[in-house]
Amino acid sequence: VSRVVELAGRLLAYRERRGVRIRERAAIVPDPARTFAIAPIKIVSDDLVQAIAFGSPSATPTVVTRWNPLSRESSELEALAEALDHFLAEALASGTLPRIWLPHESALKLVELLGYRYKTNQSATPELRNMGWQCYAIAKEATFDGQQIVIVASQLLRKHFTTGQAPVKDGHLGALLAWINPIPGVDPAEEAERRALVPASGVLERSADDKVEQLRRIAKKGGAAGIRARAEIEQLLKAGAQREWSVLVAARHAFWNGGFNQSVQMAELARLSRDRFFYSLANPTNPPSRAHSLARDLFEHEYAGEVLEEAEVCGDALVRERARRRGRAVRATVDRIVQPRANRHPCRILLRSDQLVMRVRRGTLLQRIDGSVVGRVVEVGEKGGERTLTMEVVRGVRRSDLPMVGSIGDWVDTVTHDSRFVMGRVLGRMAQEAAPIVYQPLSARMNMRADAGLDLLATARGLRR
Amino acid sequence: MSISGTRGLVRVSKNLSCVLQAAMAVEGVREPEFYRRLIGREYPGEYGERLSARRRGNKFEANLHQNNAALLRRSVGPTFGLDPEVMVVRNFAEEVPGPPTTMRAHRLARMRRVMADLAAGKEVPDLVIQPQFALPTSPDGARFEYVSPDFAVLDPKKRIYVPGEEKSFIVRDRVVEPDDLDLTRRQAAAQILAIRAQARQMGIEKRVENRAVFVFATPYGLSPAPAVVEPLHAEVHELRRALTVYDSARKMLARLRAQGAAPLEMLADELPRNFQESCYGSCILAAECERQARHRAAVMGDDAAQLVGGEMDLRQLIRLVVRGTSDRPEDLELVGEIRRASTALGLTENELLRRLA
Repeated sequence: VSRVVELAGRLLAYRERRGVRIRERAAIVPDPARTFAIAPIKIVSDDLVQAIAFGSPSATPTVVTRWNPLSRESSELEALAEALDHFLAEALASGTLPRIWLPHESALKLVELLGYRYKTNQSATPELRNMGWQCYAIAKEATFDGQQIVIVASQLLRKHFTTGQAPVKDGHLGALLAWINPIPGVDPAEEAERRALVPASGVLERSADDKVEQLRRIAKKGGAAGIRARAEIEQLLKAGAQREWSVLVAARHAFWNGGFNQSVQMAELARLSRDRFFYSLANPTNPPSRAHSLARDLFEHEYAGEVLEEAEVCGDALVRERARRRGRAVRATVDRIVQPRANRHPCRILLRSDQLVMRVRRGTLLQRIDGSVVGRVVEVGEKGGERTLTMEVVRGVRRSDLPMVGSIGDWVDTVTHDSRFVMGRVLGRMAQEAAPIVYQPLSARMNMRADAGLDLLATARGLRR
Repeated sequence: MSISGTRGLVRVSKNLSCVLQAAMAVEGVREPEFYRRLIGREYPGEYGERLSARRRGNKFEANLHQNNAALLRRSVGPTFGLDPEVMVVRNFAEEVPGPPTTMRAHRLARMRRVMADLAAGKEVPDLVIQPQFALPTSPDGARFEYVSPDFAVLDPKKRIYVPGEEKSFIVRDRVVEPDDLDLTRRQAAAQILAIRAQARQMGIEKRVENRAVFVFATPYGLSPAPAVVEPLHAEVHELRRALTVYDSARKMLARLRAQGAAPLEMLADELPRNFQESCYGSCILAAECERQARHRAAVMGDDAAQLVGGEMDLRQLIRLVVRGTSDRPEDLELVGEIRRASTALGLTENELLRRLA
């Protein structure tokens, strides 16, 4: 969102004393029938789970607590491992999107760390190791643009609403909800201020945290006092986890009651996300560290980014409007269509537009927002104070696809280039050839470059067509 | 907890325009007490490090320092081409224990002797735990702050100590959360300046580079990840600027007190404040400063403040947008931009104006 649009939205929220929608459509597909949610409580600055609420966000959660999370005992997490595995197995069997809700970024980090801690931990049970890989796959999926599996409630709400307070304060889920769901008769700014006094980052309230810390010392000594202390710790932890859970449920509720329409383009993102996530689950691998796997990873991220951009700009009028302000969407009139043979290539479309900001050059690919016609700009000119664009149609030359002469419509430059097949072949060939410059360890490559007198610039020039 | 020393400097470096904060740092105020004296009630929010956080940090450091700092040697030694098995360690925390008020001067004296030996080309320890330096905070060097890195490791090639910080932040795939790193880097920048000041006295300041070494935790308990050396040119630059702000805050306080000594809370209204987003999470007065600026653009964040000026009254701005008239052409341009932004909010210009009116 540009700074002026952001300011306009915040001014409006400030004036109306409530959050303002900044999207027309939801950035996520609807929740499937079965959805999972996780709301953890960690030790401050330690990122060790001491309590975790999980289950369906529409039901009462299961809460497990760990009175001594610094110990090597982790059997308490078995319940989470079982529930998560059951949920994912069901989704895998039915082919549905395994959606997982988390309250905030801090919770996602904790899930990621559960992955790191347990996925290859030989001292952990197979169930916990399995959970480790699943948590790792969840965290990995969360890094992809437009992914539809892991929903971090605070991120999602910030993407759809703006408030009359500073962005840094929107980072507190409770404070954000004070603007999105204002309490009648209460100023949201004051309510947000009040809520922000209690952290919403997966930690206990200060007084409860200090109390737990004191009780732990007593609990460790054992005996009757120790047992009582443990029970008290567990109560405090349960209360903390349930508080986090309530905020998560409220955030989910606020989002689905936000009145956002669904966009058809999101279905493709959901399919991509589901396939990628199931592949990760079925093929657990450590983070990429070699050229080959890094190249594949980079390509997947790039592709996901492109698909998301296309889906958002084509599917959401407000996002498209922001693209138009940047000159990446053009509202234009179809001036003429030159097509010597009907329904056949070649076909040229001549557009004219009075839009001031336009970042379209020769070679830019433009498409109609329904994706029916894609063309490459071959000429940019001016006529009678208007900009003119001539496009060679590359897809959609049939009469039923082509726009009517005189019609006004949006043309956008977010055209995804699906190079997955080609990239697959490239990566396959790379592996086959196993060029030492790519596949040897760094030390060997350094020696090789010195010995072989390999001129990388000359090699690059040679590869150019 | 007071905001003197490195903590104060780091805070000032993050908001160079806030003279009140610089004055608080110069005076080394204890924040909750100062808040009570200034506002007239207890601070309602959470303040200071939690017991649990402190325990984790202490455990991590204790783990690194036990057995003649075996884990720390193993983490930093290879980074500087030192053999961890033969590294010579001096632990000032063990040599000179005690509360900060008494031990700092002793540790500083010992560290000065070590630096003198280094300048003279004599043998010096490879690793010094809890060293102490003094960072001058006035141009004449008469005032200074104690600065104590967690450790300093000798770079045998450059023959100089590199400051080191031990943090229990968790490294995943060799990456630490950027937010965690910002404060740590600034802390280390203050240490670089302090080492440089010390080295200047020995004539070896050219050996000091803008770099520090960090030891973070792995996701697996309290074991350290391999040490990371980072260049910190930008942070050192900002800390240098913070030192000049210290000096000007001191001068301003002296000017205000020329008529009679007054406690800082009585002078607070005379000292310019600069409320910005980063005040949250760092300054105890953030909510109060925001309350003072509640109808100004600054409360809508740094981007809004940059766009229209933090002092711009939001009610005035709304009136400008609705009326669309102003004597100043730059206002008109901005008003036009805001009006046109209505479409990106799904509104026509008229709808936006109606809702703003």
